[in-house]
Amino acid sequence: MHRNITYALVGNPNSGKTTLFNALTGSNQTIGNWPGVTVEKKTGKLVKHHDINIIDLPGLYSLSANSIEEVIASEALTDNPPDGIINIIDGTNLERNLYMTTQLLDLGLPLILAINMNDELESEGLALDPCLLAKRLGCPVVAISALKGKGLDELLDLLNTPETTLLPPRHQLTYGEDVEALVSKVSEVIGKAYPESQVRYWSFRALEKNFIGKLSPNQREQIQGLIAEYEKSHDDDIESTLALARYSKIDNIVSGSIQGERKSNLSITDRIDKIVTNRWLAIPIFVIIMIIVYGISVTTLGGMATDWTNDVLFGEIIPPAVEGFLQSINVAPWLESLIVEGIIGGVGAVLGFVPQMLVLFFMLAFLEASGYMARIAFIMDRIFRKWGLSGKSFIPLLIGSGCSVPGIMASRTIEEEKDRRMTVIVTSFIPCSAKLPVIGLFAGALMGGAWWVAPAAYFLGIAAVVVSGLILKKTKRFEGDPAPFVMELPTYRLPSLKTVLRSTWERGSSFIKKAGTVILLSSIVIWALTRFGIENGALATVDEIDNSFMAIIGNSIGWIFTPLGWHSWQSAVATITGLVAKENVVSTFGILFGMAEVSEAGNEIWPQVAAHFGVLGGFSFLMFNLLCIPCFAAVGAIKREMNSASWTWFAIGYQTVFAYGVSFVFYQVSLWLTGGGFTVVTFLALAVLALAVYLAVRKPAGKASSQLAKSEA
Amino acid sequence: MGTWIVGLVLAAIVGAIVYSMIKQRIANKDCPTAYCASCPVAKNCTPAQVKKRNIVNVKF
Repeated sequence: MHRNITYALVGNPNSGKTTLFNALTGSNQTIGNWPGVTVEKKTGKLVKHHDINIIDLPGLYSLSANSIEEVIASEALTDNPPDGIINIIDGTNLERNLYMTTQLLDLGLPLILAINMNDELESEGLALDPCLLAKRLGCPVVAISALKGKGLDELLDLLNTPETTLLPPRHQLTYGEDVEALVSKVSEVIGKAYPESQVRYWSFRALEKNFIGKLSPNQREQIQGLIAEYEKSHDDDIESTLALARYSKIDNIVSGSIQGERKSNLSITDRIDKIVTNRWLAIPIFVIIMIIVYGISVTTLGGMATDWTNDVLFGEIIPPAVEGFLQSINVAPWLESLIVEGIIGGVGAVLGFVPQMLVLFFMLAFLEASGYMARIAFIMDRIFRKWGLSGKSFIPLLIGSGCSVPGIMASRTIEEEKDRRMTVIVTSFIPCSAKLPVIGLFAGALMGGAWWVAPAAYFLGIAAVVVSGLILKKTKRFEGDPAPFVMELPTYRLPSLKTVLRSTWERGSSFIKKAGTVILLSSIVIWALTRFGIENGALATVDEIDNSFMAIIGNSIGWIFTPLGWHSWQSAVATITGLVAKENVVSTFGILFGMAEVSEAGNEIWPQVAAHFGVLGGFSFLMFNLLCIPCFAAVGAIKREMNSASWTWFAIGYQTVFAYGVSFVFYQVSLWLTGGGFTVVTFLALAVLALAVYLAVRKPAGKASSQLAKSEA
Repeated sequence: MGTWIVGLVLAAIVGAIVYSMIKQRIANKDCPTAYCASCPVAKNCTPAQVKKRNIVNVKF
């Protein structure tokens, strides 16, 4: 018999909803110990019972329309009502979670209450009485642990016996005489605007001033009159009254349903938080954790794996094997060069970083699933707010220090569009791992490998983020305070290996996909531009790289960089090839300075680079390349996150102008201070510096005009 | 002969990449944002459309 039944899965953020959805449907949706993992409804079919559909709705705290998620969920429940609702709640936060349950019960739809994290409750020395709760709420109640699979059989049995489960709540929850009298009056007013079964639900929504679009102006006026009358007689606003009434009811329902006493007044999470979110200890602990994460992923485990991939796999195994194969089948030298030097060289340079990134992503996924990432955002919000950024911007910047692509993608956790766009723009200022070889080359060539150059590069990146935050927040496009940072700090949990591996793969695979598409195509184009050119007045494959199209392009744009202290076509070309992958800057110099192959930090060409640039020009080049447009893959990520050509061009334009301005001011002012003389260009550089300071410290355009309006009034 | 075979295989790979990129671009043409939570129409997308559009509809 085909039943075609639909259940909606509804619950608070971080209540384990997606874990339960995956367990019920066998799906592989992303799970995170981070509120807001699900932001869109998803559908799946119950395992072994494909005639039962499950809709996973976004996590929400109430059915009041305060956010887009709440609107989506509320419409999904009322416009096209499901046959039943599975309301998953966090057993360790029973009272708060039951708030939405009371709203769902108002809908009059069949409801099954699944109390999750029962195992955590038991470990705290508490025992839940589902039967008592079921009696008081008037609906079936099951205690489960979605993560450990406990209680799921009982829930599956309920879902699979719709004839006994799909029944409306056995009784209606009531909220005291006064509230009920008011609800009755509102119900009479809105009566015909909604289906009869939903009138009580819509009456509450109307009292909360939500979803009143279907009502006529006359009905709205009558409801406003009723609310005003009630608020006047009770000397309290209606929203507080309703919330208080619901919580009072919840207290009665919960009373006596949990037996036993907590082993400790403080839960394990509270005890950990007392240390890791401590006012003085939070930042040092975070720094230590990050040093460990980067130590393992960049220098030790990940570093060894990446060295092997770069030096052995893409150095000693793949290129000679492919070269030998191509020669054995008599492939033309130009095609062999395209495949070995162009494609394997270009794509290999990027894929070489995959092991390092997978280790980094694994560790970040572990921190995220454990619940610590939510604390980091919380800790950093206090600092970031001063710069016009939200605490949530910190995570993209942190991930961006590994690679800008996942860093930019991580910005989608920021709900406020202005904050999100600003984070996308500034994320690539933080040096990614691909920029480390460039930093290493110039630190070695200009400063003999001095230790402080790399930290200085990170400091430059952080300073660029701060200054950009201050400048952009004053413009009309970004003005206004960052959105209030409200986030539930989840309970600490030991993440499951499956969840961590899935998250690692999701991030890593998108990076590999980029290497196989955008970077592959760009590598072919760059190979062609260096291989072909005009020699002896004719288009040909060139023997002298000075005659290549790349040299022609480099020469034609080299003048742009003259004010920055470097204008040779080689440096312009290295900057261009750096757009494919930043580590290309080193290999390009290797080729252009006559070394076929150079080590990662380019030790062999330190003298040539030092002679070519000089100290000031070299640092200017390094600054420009650290701050300018990131690689094509990151630009692609910017385009995807902005989803707007104009915003993408704005980001590219801002980054380029910012990088040019910083290098210009640095080179010209340093030149003057080291005895180069004061010229018109020095004056211009100082003017640019003054303008940047003004843009960062001026009053926001909006505030200035509002103050003007106030003073005029 | 070897040049022709390898050249054609490479051309096919490049063609497939360019084709998939163009196809993706067309699929995303009417997608107003890559971030479903702030999307005015994404709630109307079927799961198949979401998959085709290759927009990541979840936060990490």
